[in-house]
Formats: sequence, C-alpha cells, structure tokens
Amino acid sequence: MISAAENNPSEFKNYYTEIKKAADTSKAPVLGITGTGGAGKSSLVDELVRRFLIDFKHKTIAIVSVDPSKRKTGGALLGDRIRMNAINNDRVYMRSLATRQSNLALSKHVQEALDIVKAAGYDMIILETSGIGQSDTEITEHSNMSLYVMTPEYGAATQLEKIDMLDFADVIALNKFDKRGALDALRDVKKQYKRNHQLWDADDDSLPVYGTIASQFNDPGMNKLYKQVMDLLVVKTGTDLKTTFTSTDEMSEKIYIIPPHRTRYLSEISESNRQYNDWTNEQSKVAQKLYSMEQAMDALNSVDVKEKDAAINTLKSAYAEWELRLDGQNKKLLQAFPTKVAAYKSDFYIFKVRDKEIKIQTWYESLSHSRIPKISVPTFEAWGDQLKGMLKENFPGEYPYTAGVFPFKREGEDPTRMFAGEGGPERTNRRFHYVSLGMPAHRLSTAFDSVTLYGNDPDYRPDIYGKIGNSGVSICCLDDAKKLYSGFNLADPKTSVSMTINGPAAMLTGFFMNAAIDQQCELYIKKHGQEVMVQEKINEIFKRKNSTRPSYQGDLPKGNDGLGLMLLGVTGDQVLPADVYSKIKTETLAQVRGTVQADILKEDQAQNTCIFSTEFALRLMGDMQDYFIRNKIRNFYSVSISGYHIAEAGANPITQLAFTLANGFTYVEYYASRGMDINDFAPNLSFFFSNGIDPEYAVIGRVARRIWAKAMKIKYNAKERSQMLKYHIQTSGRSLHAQEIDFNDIRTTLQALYAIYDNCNSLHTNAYDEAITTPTEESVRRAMAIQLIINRELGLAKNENPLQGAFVIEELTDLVEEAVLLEFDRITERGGVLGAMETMYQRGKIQEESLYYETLKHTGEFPIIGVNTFLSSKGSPTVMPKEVIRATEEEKEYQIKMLQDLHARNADRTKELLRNLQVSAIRNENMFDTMMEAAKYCSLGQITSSLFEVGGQYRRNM
Amino acid sequence: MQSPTPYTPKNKIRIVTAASLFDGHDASINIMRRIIQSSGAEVIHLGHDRSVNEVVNCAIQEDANAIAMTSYQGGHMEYFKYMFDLLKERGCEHIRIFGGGGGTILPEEIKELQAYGITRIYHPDDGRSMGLQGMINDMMQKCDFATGFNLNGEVKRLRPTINMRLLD
Repeated sequence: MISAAENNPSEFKNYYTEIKKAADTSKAPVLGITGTGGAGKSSLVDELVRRFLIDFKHKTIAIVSVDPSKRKTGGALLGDRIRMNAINNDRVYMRSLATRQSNLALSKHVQEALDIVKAAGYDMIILETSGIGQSDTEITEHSNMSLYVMTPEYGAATQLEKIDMLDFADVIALNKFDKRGALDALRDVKKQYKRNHQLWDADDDSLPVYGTIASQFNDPGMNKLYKQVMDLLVVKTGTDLKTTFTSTDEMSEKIYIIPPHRTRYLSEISESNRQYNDWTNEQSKVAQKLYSMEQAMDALNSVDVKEKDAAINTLKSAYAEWELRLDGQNKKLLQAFPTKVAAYKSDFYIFKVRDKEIKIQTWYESLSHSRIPKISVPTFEAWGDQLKGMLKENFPGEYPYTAGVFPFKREGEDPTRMFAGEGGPERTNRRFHYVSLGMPAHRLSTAFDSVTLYGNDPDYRPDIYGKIGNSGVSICCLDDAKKLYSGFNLADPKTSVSMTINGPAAMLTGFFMNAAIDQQCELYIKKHGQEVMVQEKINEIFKRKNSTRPSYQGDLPKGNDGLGLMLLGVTGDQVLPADVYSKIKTETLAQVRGTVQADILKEDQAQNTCIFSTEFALRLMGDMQDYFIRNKIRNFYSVSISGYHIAEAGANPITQLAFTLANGFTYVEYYASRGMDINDFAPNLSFFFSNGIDPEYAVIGRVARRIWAKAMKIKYNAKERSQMLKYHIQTSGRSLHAQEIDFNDIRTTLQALYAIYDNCNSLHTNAYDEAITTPTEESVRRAMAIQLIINRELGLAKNENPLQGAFVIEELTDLVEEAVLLEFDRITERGGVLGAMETMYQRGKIQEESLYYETLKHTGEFPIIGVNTFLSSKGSPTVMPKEVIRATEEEKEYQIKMLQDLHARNADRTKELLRNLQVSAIRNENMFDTMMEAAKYCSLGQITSSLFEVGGQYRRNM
Repeated sequence: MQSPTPYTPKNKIRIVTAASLFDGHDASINIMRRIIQSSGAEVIHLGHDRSVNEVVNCAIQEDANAIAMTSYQGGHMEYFKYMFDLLKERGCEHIRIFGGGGGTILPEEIKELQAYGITRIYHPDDGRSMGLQGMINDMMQKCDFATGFNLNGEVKRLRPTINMRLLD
C-alpha cells in the first residue's frame, strides 16, 4: 500500500478515503523524531522501541523512517535499520521511505504512510526523519508530539537560536551526553528553551530537555527520556499507553573505559618514545666525544711531541667535564660491552630464565666446518657507536629488545603451530592428533565455526544448520571442549592451546579451563583407584536425570589415550570432595598454557565478529584478566592483540602495526584504570601480526618490540617481563591468489623468511590452496615444510640475528617506527582508540588502503606474478578446488542432539547459574567467576543470550 | 576494462542489502550497495550477520524488489534456499534474490541455487567479465518491476488482523 502511495498515486487515490476513515478511528499516537545528522537518532529510536516492547507486552509499534534521496542519481541509502536491534520482533513494523525530492526532509507520501499504518491497527507510531539542518519543523504537522535529538556539539550557544525545532519540539534529547561540554550544553539548551517558550521562571529540572547516551546499555538518561515521552503522549493524546517504568533522577553518566584525563595516552607514548630517541642521539654524541678524547690522549701518550703533558691535562679536564654528561647507566653499559661481546664469542653462553640457568652453545658448524655464530656481535670500537647500538638495538634479549626478547631461540622447539578446526569436536581432535603425532611439543591452534564465533548454539534452522562445523569446529559446551582436546594433557608444559575466538572468548575460555580441570580430576581419580566408584556416581547422576551419557563419537585416533573423556557430562566437583576439587582447580589454572584471541577492538575495526556492545565486551575481557591475576594463571595469554585481521581487511603494514599497538596500549590503559598492576597483566598480553610481502614487513617485529619496550619502561615504569612483546605471526592470506596457486608457496616462503629473520616467537605458514578452499592434508604439509626447511636447512638461519647491522634494516626500522608514532598522534587527535572508533576512523583508513592496493593491482602498477603479469599461455585462470571439506550431516545432527540432551539434563541448574551471571554483570562484579560456573552446565547460546539481556547487543556500523 | 554506463531503471527499485548470518565479511556488499545507490535504486542496508528471517522480514516490510546478499562463511546452500522458501511461504516470491560469495560458492552450487529459484548468484569470473557496474546493471534489469500495483482487496486486508505482509 505504501508503495502504491509512492508509485501508483492514481490508483491509490481510489482507496485513500477508505484508509483515511480507518485511520481516523485509530488512537495510535504519532511520535515525531528529528534531529541533526549523526546525532544518534536511529540508536535512540531503537532504544525507545526496545523499552516499549518490554513495557507493553501486547502492543505493537510501527516506525516510518524518512531519508533523503540523491538529486543526481535518484538513489538513496536508507540506513536506519542497520543500527536497530529491537525491530527484529513481530510486534514491530518498520518502513523506510526516501524523500524522492532531495530538498525536503519528509517524503510527500509521509501522511499517507502514517494513515496506512494507523489503519493497520498499530498501537503506536514513530515517525523519524533525517535532519537536514536547522529547519526541520514539518514533522510537527504529521505528529502528535515531537522529539528533537541533538548532541552537545552544536558549536557556540548562539547557534541554538537558529534551531527552529527548539521552538516546536515537545521534548529535546541531548544525545551523546558523554561528549565534552555536555553539562554546559544542557544548561545552554535549557536556557534557549526557556527563552523560546517564555518560561523565564521555570525550574531548570522541570524542562523537557534530557541528556542521553543511547549507545550505552540501559542508560539512565534514556530511561528517563522514555518515561517522559510516554507520559507526555498520554497527556497529549489520551492514549492508553501508560508506562509502568519508573525513572530515577540519575543523570546519564558515561561509564568510561579510558578515563577522560587519560585520552592522550598514545601521544604520551609517542612523546616518550621520541624523547628516548633524542636522548639516545645526545648520549651517543657524548660517548663519542669521550672516546675521541681518550683516543687523543692515547695517541699523544705514545708519541714524543712538545707540550704533550699540557695537552693531555687539558684533555683530561675536558674529559671529566663531558663525562658528567654521560648517564651513569650508559657508562655501565659501555663498561660491560667488551665482556658481553666476549661472552657471545666463547663456546657457551650462560644466562638465566626464571631463576633457571641455561647454557647454550654459541655456534653451529657448517658442512665446510665454518663456525656460524648464533648471535653475531657488532665490531664497533668507538663508544658512541657502541652506545647507540645498545640503546637502539642491543643484543637479543636485552632492552629495548629490538632484535628479540630472548637471548637465544628455544632449542628443539620449532615455532610451529598445528592448526585444525572442522566439523564436530571429534573430527578436529583426530586432526590434532594426526598433525602432532611424534612431535615433542603440541601447539594446538583451534579455528571455530561461525556459529560458535558469534556465540550461538547449533540448530536445525537452515541458516544456522548450514554453518555448523564449516570452516571451523563447532563447540557449544564443556563436553565439546573436553572431546576437542582429549588425549592432550592440557596441564603439560609441552601442550599449549590457542583459540581463535573473540566475541564469546570468555565463554570458550570458561569451557577450556573447566575441561583442563576435569582432565586433572580424571588423572587424580585414576591415580587413587577411584574409577569404579566415580563411574557409579556418574551413572547414578544420569539415571536420576533420565539421560544418556554423552560419548566421543567413533574410535579414538592414534595418540589419543582418552584423557578428558571420563567425566563427559559431569564435572569434577560432582564426583570429588570439594577440597580435593578445589586444590586440583588451583593447581591446574596455574599450569595451563595457551592463548585466547579475545581482541574485541580489532573486531570492531576490521573483522566484525562482535556480539556485545564494545564497552561490555571490554569489561568481559577485563574481568577475565582480573580472574587470571587472582588465580595465578601466568602461562595463558588472556588476549592476542591482533593486527592480522586489520591487514587482511586491507591495511598496509604501517597501519597494521600502528592500530595493533594502539589497541594494545588501550587494553593496558583500561586494565590499569581498573586498578590492576601492570606487571601482573602485561605478561599475559600477546600479539599477532600478518606478514605480507611489503618491505616494511622485514622489520615489523623489530619496531613492535622497540616501541612496546620503550613505552612500558619509560611511560608505565613496568618491569622487564612486561617490556617484552611476544608475537605470533602468520603469512598473509591476502597475498594468496586464486590464479597460479602453485606460486603461493613461493610468496609464503619469502614471508616466512622475513618472519624468522625478524625473530618471531611463533609462526604459521598458510597453505597454497587456502585462497580457494579449506587446505588439504597435502597442502598443509607443504606449508609446514616451508618453516622446517628454513629452520633446519637454511644455513644463514642458523644465525639468530641476521638482520642486525644492515644499513637498510636500521633505516627501515627508524622509518616505520616514526610512521607508527605519527599514527598514534593522529589517533589521539580523534580522542584515542575508542574515540577514533566512534567516527570509524580505523575502518575508513583500512578501506582506503585496501582500495589503493586493489587499484594498483588492477592497473598492473603493482605487479603480481601469474595474476596481473607473467600470465601463462592459458591466461592463468582462476583455479577451482577439486574437493571441498564440509561437515557431514551426521556430525551436525549429533551436535544438535547432544545439545538438546544437555539442555534437558541441566534445565534444573541453568536458570540459577545464568541468573548469577547476570547479577554479577548488573552489580559490576567479576563476570568470569560466575562464567566459570555457568560454563559447567550451560551452552554457549544460553550464556550469550542471557548476557544480551544485561549488556546489550552489538550495534552494527555502516 | 571499460566500465559500462549505469542502467537506468524504469521503475523505482528498492533493494535490501546484507551479509549472511554469522558472517562479518561486509567489504564487498558495501562496495555493491554504493554502486546500486548511484545507479538510482533505494537501498535498505542491513550490514553483516543477518539471519534469513531478519532479511526476509525487512524485504517484505520495505516492499523491496530484490535482496542482494553476500555469503563468504559457508552454509550458503541452506541460507539461500531457506530465504527462497520463506519468501514463498509468505507469498512474496516476487522478491528476487541475488547473491555472491567470491570463490566460496562453487559453479555447480550456483547452478543448483539458480535452478531452485534464486535469480542469480555471481561468481568471481562474472565479476571479471562483466565488471562491477555490469553486474549491478544485470541485477537491476532483472528486478526492474513496479511495486504498489494490484491493489484489489488490499485495503480490506489491512484490518482487522495485523498482518505485516499486507502492508506492502
């Protein structure tokens, strides 16, 4: 009908009288909402609708939203729905109209549309229009009541005099009340309102002007606004929509992630970094002068010339004078330099790690019997050069850790991870055992399916069903996690697990930790011969619940001894005495090794697997870190601050590095603002970069380590362990092409070489066929071989600091470092990382850089062999995959059935556990404590949806 | 490649754009929707991670001519078929479905989906031969029909039950 009004007016006319008649009998009030562009109208409408739906369980609401058409093309972007989460409800109807005339704020068909929805019997109607500046008062002609939405950023107070809507609006919302100067703005708007309405004596508090932060979940200002709007609608229209909400006098107050006085943190870091660099140059000059004088004295001493003693004495006093300007620490460094060099030149180098003495042979013998040094030391003689070298580079393992955070690479452990994630937990478990059979260390990297990545449960609904177990493993409960890692002792120092999960990171970590604890419970039970007793207990539990015990589907693979499967369906605390369980839990948590990605900032900037509002997601991360500190979880990284996805989305290496480090420092600031000690959490942070083919990638690790170390030491006064930036790196997926896929391994090899020369802490090499399909066993083996060949065969790689001392490397390092610091300043100008995210600065920049690359690739200016140049005689066509690995029906069915059993079996417990979780969220207590308990009984989807109710869903951006 | 001139639609075309459920890949749909807008259509953009139900509801409420989806995260067979089924169930088969997913949707799958009733799934090779504007032109041509006609009886159906479908 609305389309008819718009497109087919001649026919529509015949029906309009009838519609009009029906509409006139409708009592539905029309609330008109307008405001300036970017004031957050659609979020605010969404929040009003959300409250309406909770307030009135049986009422319906219609929204008519008007956006401008482009005069030139006639096209329009009707973009309000993207921000709205509450409209996905069958009591809500929404229709977006384009003005189809660009100079108007309203479509000329608006009244018809309103009459149609009235005739359709909706109980309430919201008319939202785009703000096109200061005269937007038409809306009042179509509505019973109007709400004007603005922000504190309107400029000078005199600007308010130009806003017509301040005359006409019944209610004014000053949204984004967290912006600078909000209180002044509230005062000024109220003043203007008084002036416009001649209310000179009115009490400020009685004026219908409200500060709101619609982007904040359950914002008190929004609650107040909603109540006022509904109350006023009743007064104005006599509608029966009487709200049951009560409002408090609380003001909207932003719960700050980064306290306002700290928003310059990134520039403080760049300033302190630059100061250090200046100081380095200045000190090196001093050292150089001292060296020159010492050399001069030496030279004078050894010859017989006139007035030699006088000259030497003069030099001596000049020397003493200059020596005062040399920092005591630097003097010490210079004194130690010759001993240090000698230590690397002797056959064995001895150093300490966590109070353990380690003795390393310093050389490797080639087939030609040459001794290749593991660490090659500088041959500088002049002190200035020596000092500069130590302050800018130093030996690996020494501040500022430019060449690496450890003196030597770990022996007998290639930085190789085993990647898997496909189908159900059993299939991925088999794959893990297959790839790690016979390997001394098990570094298991887990990829999850998209259902899991978005915090959902498997389901028969087709749009979910199709994604179960595809391009990742389906994990939705504790039992899944137990099966996934069964046969690997998770408390063994040689096992480490990495989980690529962000939105629901806390839930998956909860599953993982509980799985690890129950494994140790199992070992305890076996050790103490209590197996029979425990089995009886479990059987009894299942008998009582009238449920069947879950089991590992199919045979155990070679290498899997079944550890972790005994307690499927139950947890250790159900079968062991409380004190025993608690002791095992404490010990296990202190031992588990691994990483969970959990980096929500880069999700919002680049990858989009956000499920909660950013603030809430950050709080979850902080709670997890806080739990880690209290429970002495030292060997598990609580976050992997990732540049990989930023680069994959199109960012160049400098932007990747700058955004990633900036995100890292944001976590540091946030955790510190919550009162955590930097030395307690900084060692739990790790980084993850992408490694492409650009020149800057040759030094990405060097620059990252140097900036981080300097910031930690100078700016945050942190200890050594906190200064060391450790990172995992993966060869770039974007540099894999679907044409001439054989060439991809060549690119990957070069990237791997960059990474290994740059002393990465661990490395993943992509398989050549990943551009077209999920990698096969054959392609993964080849990818693994790339690393092994470099590490074990390539002679120069036996040296562990091959980049040090190369002019171009030093130049590149300085250049990239300065570029990163400049980017820090640009982010500061936008209010820090979170401020910049609000205006989508990071997204915009990433998209721009992506487009630049695509353009050059398209024109051929950026040559890609076998893709845009050097094409084969057949034109190097896109390669199609031969086989595609997909999850089987059987696996999907089992996942759903197992989940249904779990829900049925634990129904008696889940309600209470989820309530506890919600309460901890509402009361601002640590949610990971309650999460650990909920993870024992609840499924992923249950936990996610219960958190939505208290933390708010993610609101998408354009 | 010379990019073709934008197709000029005969009717007011409204298109819903989105990326599939549990799928954060929104770069290409963002490029597409911009081209669709500049070709004169009204675009209702839903962004990433949208369920079939959300997209279908939106398309019906907005009386759209077509839905343009991307799916890069797998499960596209079920997703697109379910979308078609749901539209049919709600009497809105006239809303065309278009899709793309780079190399993740295989040529034989494209055939199967199109045979099922999906109007067109574009493959990277189509992009190479048609160009971006060419693909959008093809799509706009295929959904260039008038909405808001055949009003017979529609008014009576506005009441007494609230049935959102009838608000077309």
